[in-house]
Amino acid sequence: MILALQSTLEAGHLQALDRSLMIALAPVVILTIAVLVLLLVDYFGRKHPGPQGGISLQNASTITIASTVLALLGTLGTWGWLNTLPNGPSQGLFPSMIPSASAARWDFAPAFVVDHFFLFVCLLVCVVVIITSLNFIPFLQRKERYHAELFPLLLLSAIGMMLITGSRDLITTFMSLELLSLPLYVMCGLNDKNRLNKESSLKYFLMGAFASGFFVFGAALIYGMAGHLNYTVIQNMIAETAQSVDPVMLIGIGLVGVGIAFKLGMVPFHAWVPDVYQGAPTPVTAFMATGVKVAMFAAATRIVLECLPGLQAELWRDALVLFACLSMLVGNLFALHQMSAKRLLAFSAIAHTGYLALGMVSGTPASGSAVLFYLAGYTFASLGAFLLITWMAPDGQDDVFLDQMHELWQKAPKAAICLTILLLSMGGFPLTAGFFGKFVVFKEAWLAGLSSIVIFALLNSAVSFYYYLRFVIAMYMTPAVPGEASLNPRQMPGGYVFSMVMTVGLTIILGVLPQLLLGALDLTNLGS
Amino acid sequence: MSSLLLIVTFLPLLAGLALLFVPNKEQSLPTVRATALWSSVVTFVLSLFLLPSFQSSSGLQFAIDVPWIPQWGVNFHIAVDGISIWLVLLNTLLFPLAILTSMQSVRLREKMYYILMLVLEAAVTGVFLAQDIVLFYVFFEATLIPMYFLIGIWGGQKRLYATTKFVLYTMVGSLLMLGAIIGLYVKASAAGYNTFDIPTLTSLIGDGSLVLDQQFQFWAFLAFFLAFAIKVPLFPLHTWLPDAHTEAPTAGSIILAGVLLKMGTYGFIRLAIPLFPDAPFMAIGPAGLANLRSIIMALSVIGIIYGALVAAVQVDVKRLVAYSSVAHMGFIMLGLFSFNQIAVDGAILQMVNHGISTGALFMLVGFIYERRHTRLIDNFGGLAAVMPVYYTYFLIIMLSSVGLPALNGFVGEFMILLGSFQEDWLMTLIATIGVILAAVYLLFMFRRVFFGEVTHAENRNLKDLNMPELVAITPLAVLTLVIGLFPTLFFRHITPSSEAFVSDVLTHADDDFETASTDINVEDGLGGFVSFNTNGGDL
Repeated sequence: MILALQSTLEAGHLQALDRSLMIALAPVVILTIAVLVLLLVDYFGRKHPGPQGGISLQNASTITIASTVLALLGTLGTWGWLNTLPNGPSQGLFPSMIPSASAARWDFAPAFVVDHFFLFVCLLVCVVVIITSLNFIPFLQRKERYHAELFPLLLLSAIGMMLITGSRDLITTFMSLELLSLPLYVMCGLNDKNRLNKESSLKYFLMGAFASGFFVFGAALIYGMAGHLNYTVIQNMIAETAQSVDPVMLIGIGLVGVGIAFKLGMVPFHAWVPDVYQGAPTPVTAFMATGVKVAMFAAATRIVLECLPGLQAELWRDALVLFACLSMLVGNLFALHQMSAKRLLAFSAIAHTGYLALGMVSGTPASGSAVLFYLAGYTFASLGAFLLITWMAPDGQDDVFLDQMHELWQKAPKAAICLTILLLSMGGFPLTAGFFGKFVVFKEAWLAGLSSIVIFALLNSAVSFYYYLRFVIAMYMTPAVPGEASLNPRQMPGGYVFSMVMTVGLTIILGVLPQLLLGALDLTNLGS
Repeated sequence: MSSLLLIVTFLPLLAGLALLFVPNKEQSLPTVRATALWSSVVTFVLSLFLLPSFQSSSGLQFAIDVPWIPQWGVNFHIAVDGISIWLVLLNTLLFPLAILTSMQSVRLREKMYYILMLVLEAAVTGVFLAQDIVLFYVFFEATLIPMYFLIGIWGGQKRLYATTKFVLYTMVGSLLMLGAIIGLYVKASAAGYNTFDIPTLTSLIGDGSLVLDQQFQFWAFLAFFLAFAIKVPLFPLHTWLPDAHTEAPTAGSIILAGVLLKMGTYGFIRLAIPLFPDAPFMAIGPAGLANLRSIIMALSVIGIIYGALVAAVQVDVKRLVAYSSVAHMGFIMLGLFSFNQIAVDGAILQMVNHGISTGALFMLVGFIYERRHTRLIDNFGGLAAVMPVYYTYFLIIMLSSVGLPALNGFVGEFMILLGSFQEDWLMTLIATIGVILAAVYLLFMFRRVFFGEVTHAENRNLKDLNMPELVAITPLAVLTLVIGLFPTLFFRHITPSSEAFVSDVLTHADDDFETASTDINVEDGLGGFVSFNTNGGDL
């Protein structure tokens, strides 16, 4: 962002800067200010150096939520403002600054774009941040841990998620990727008394480092061939040499793809997902499973649609389709017999990566918005499910096992019904957001001629019903054995209730009236 | 009148949602039961009002058609025609009776039970009324979850196995159908028709404005076929059915056999065949020896014989009735796919008949299970003397299932056999053996349960049917007689609608027959075994 700003200054777009930039980047700007406020208050609030003192959990959470709500409103404002721009809503901001291939090197001017695609992801990220932070306090209090630094970390990561989706330049993408990831490594290791927790943090960090390494190396190779890091320049470069793209360029694109696939948890780069999801504190898992997935898929979709269209389809598409199919297959098969709810949902997340990748790879004009619709449905379902697990988890355990859920329906009927709806949405059952998510994604894939893969994916979702229904069987149909350790859900704090109403409500609303979102998503189509 | 359809569909759903807010306490149970019963009774009475103003000659009527998802051309379009009106009435009739039966037997978590029953009723009505593919799919799937819970919570010993099997079987079929729906939409919108509307698509395909290539038609038909054939169930996709029936609570079995299976056969009439009219006639296999239609007819006949033979060796009455369902549904499929006017009419009436007879049989089995907590044939004997009223009702219903003239089963089966004989005498001949077998296993079971000495001391003091049970079973028994004696009352509405269906299919069959020697090699030298000659017999 800074670079974009700086170069805007240099390029003499002063008029554009004063107001437009602030409006355009409203969500990012607001959250950045919030981070600074949180850190400064924390620092100056301390009387002595050390863990004591500083900002209280309650205040940190209030500031975080208030600023994110503000950012959400800001995003909506920008959304409307973008429609009033003279160059039309579909163009987004800064499109005129895209240079020709002959532009000077190290010109970062076109590093960023503000369009509806970006703004929609901002909205989703804001919702994720609000709902996650509402649930941090009860969680932390129960664990008797008071990490107010969690909140600035959360916001920093959210800023990274937003920036990566607007990025149109490999360096900006890389920096946003790091901004997104580094706070998460810390957040994963929050509960340092727990062995799984440490494993999760270290594993995530190492895998993330690998992914970054691949990404940077690939970007370097691309830069070597194209002389530029901007998506449009790379796209033009590829288009010019369409029939004989240099192998080094292909290797570069492949390595960038591997880096992103690591972050997405796509098979065969998925091995970290179950361990990290299971080991991380559950609210962090909720944030990670939804926010990172949304941001990385949005970034990847932008690369596919704005960087690769000129590339001969069979070169990268076949590979991606293969990975998508493997993700569905591996995710679904490994999920079948998991006993840990978090681990099961982790494998199901891998499967969802496969469905999403199918939508992304289709590369049709509307595939960007299809992926966003799916992501929205998946986000609400996954967020709600992980937060329910957070709440249900018995003392001294940060996970729920399926056999602990017996007769949950008797003890906590509302929670059981909520979880059922969220899981049905994940499975893609009609009248939930997940159904129309699958519908749009598969429709785009079919349009792109991947009909047999769509059938494969549909059969996979039939398999997935088996393990989603295992929850239902556990909650409703299995009597609790006396003496068996089973859940005794505590009173649900207000934050959870609000989160549940939001996630379940949005899941059903999008499942019954998808046109509410479809209309907005029509603006988010990518591609030139 | 249009709003009447809306009310009939959603009144049970609203009642179910209202029940959510009733406190889950012992003293509110009468309210729960009364709400469930009376809302379903009112729904039935309201649905009866459809009949007087129904114009049998004007096809789909009472339509409500409002945009639902305008971006994709999905409409909320419900309407009723001469075929679906009977299925809707069957549905609204069976639900109050099933709920009444449940009041005697269900003692566990009643509130949730009745909520699920009411939701299920709304969903099934929706399936029969939907005139938009997406809407149909939504209702079709929505029936799954209530039934899943009904079997899974209130079922018997092996309920988890049975209910999971039921859901997964159905799910595989319907997800493949979803794939075909997506494909159809992509093809239709590529041709400029951005719609999911069933009548629109059917007529576009029927008059050749929208041409789907043969390969797509074949695979898409196969996907729809799987979804509906699993539901019917057609041999060899039937294995979920005996398990589901055996484990389901009585009301669950009544609904499952009575209306849920009909969604499969109805799906063929409404969607699979009209949308892909060439597919049943496409040659497949080496040298085009067979086409899909002949394969489906063969599977139906195998189902008839197989279902009857397996039913004959069952020791559990409920399982016996379940297998008899497989056989009876085979008749319906045989009639449908013979594409003969008489047989199709018979098949449609038989859908209603089967719902009444088998629903009533499951109800009767449930009555005796409540008293003895067993369903094994060996545990009974001589019940005719102990429970004369029960014996009489069982006799009527059992004979209707056997197909005794003057009862409803006879009309349907006779017409199916009469019509399909003109198309394929050999298969019809084999199917007729199934009629005899049905008499064998049902009468054999009946004799062992009701005649002879009372062999078990526990059976001596069994109470005969009480008032609620009589109220539940009498309408069904009366209907078997009414349909058996006055079938024309029903055909008056069925025939005009089914004529459209049959003539539509036959146009395509003729087209295919003409082109058979050129591009699709359908008919070569198998004589009458696989016949396209739909106008006359080929004996």
